[in-house]
Amino acid sequence: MSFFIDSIFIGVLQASPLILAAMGFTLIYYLNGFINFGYGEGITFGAYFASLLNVSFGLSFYVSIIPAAMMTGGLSVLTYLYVFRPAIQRGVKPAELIILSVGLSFVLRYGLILFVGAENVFLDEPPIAFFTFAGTGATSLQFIALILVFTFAFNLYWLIYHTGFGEKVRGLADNPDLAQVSGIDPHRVSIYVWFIAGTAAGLAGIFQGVFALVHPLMGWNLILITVMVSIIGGVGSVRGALIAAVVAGILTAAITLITKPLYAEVALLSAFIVILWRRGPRTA
Amino acid sequence: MAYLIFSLSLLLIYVGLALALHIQFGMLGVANFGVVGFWGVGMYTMGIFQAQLDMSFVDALFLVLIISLAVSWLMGWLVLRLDPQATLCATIAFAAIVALLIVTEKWATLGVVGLGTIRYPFRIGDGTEYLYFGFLVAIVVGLQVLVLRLHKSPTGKLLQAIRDNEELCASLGKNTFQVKMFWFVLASVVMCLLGALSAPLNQFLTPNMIVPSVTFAVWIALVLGGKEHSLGAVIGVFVTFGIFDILIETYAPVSPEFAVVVPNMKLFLYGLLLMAVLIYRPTGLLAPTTPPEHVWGEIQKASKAAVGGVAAFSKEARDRIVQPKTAPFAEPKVQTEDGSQNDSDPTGQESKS
Repeated sequence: MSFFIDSIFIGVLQASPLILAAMGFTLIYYLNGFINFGYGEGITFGAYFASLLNVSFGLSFYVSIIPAAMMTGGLSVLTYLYVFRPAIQRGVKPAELIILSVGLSFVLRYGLILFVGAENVFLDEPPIAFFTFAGTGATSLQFIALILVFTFAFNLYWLIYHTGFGEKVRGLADNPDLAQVSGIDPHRVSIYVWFIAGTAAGLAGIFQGVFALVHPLMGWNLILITVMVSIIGGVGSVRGALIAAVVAGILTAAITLITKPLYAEVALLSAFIVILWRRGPRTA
Repeated sequence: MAYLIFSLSLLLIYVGLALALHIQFGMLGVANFGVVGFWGVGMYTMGIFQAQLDMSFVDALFLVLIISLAVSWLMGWLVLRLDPQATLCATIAFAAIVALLIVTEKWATLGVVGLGTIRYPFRIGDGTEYLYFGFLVAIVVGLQVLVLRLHKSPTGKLLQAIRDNEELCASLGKNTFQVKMFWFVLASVVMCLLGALSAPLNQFLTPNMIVPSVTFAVWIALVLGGKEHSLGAVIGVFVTFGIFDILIETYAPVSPEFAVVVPNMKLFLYGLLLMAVLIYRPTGLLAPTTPPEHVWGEIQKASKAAVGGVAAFSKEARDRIVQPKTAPFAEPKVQTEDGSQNDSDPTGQESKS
């Protein structure tokens, strides 16, 4: 029994950055229809904004979470306005947009390295209390991270599937022309969506950074698994991305408890390929 | 000089990989994002057969061929029926699995310790590297000729037709899955063999060679050069790898105190160039319809556009943000129809301003 509780708890905890990143990534993919590798830099920048507020300005870690995430959202909106929107307007196709986003990712990452250096940064963690819950130990930081991640995830879920704004987003993604004729302003909706997605990336980066350390390649290391989980979850399905990320985290944790961590990754990736193959072609 | 020959040999390997990807993605529309996986399979099987089992180069190459056929066929069977996003995801996963297995299976690959030494197929004193370089030139020229002929042949037209509308092709009685399978496996085997051929160049193999950056480098080169043009792969690799990894790295005059900054600065500029080219030349440097005799003129135009683009980049975006009332989703629809004709107009304006 404790095996299941351990795998679920560790899995969800380790996957919490992935859950946020996959949901935000899916949102952009859904609305604009291209794979944005630059999204990974949102994760990095979220962690660095947090370290700026937390380490350089000496704010408490908990206080700096929300502003850092909002700053990442702002950065995400800027990349949309200055790079991706002009590109889409000029008729750059999805395959070229992928490479464009890789270029943006290079610019942001190496710009960051030129600006602050490539050294590892550690966030100032708040004092940690240790709890025991259902036979599993956890720190206060982990609990707060879990609560924040799930608050954000379920708010996003509710926003997309149960509000007028979500309806606009889904309308624009499914049929942009019809949505515009119905009076939806695609420009404004896109800005909101890129802001929300950037905020999700920033939060993912903050939690990834506080559990381990902050370094310029952290987003790049997370982006491939984010892309895979989002595609497995079903193109443009925020619900699917949430479920796929949670399941991937729990499975990894469960296999890691039985065998070596690297074999867990091999098993998970093989499962990805087999799932895609079993599912066969599907239209988005 | 020995270093330059090594870099140039590596450049040829990249040209070969980009040509193979051109067949898979540019002509057939299969989004293979696992280039490094195939490359790594070839490189490491070559290393294992030579360094661990002490086989001769030719025997090892033959076994690599058989293994890579099996791996490519398996991957083709798994991914070719899928939609593009799923293909992309499955091939990324494949490359990641290859990289992980190289680390875990220490009995064969020696894991992170590294595997060596891989010998050249011949040894003639100081000239070995040069002769091997010539051998690679012959192979890459052969591949390029194959691609050029493929573009002119009915088979090439069939591949492009499958890329553009597979259902239509199937309804005309073509066995599209078989055609896709044949060319996918062929191109993947080429990638594996190029991996095997690059093993003697590196001589000592470590898992950190099998990283996604290789895939990205090949993709960037192909898309930047023009993914559907028969010469796009070569041009792309020369612009990216040739300029940034060979010219700047080797010949840029840098004082020692800035030497630490150069690699980061280089990648920063690389990203900027990539963005400028793709925004101002949405089809890459060479549009699919450029006739071969106009390639040089197109490159000159594109380089002007890129230089003007970097300068106009921030200004242009600032102008756009002032008038947010324009509908961003209405225009691409129009441009997709005649994008190849249209995209030269903004280019001309930008290079003048």
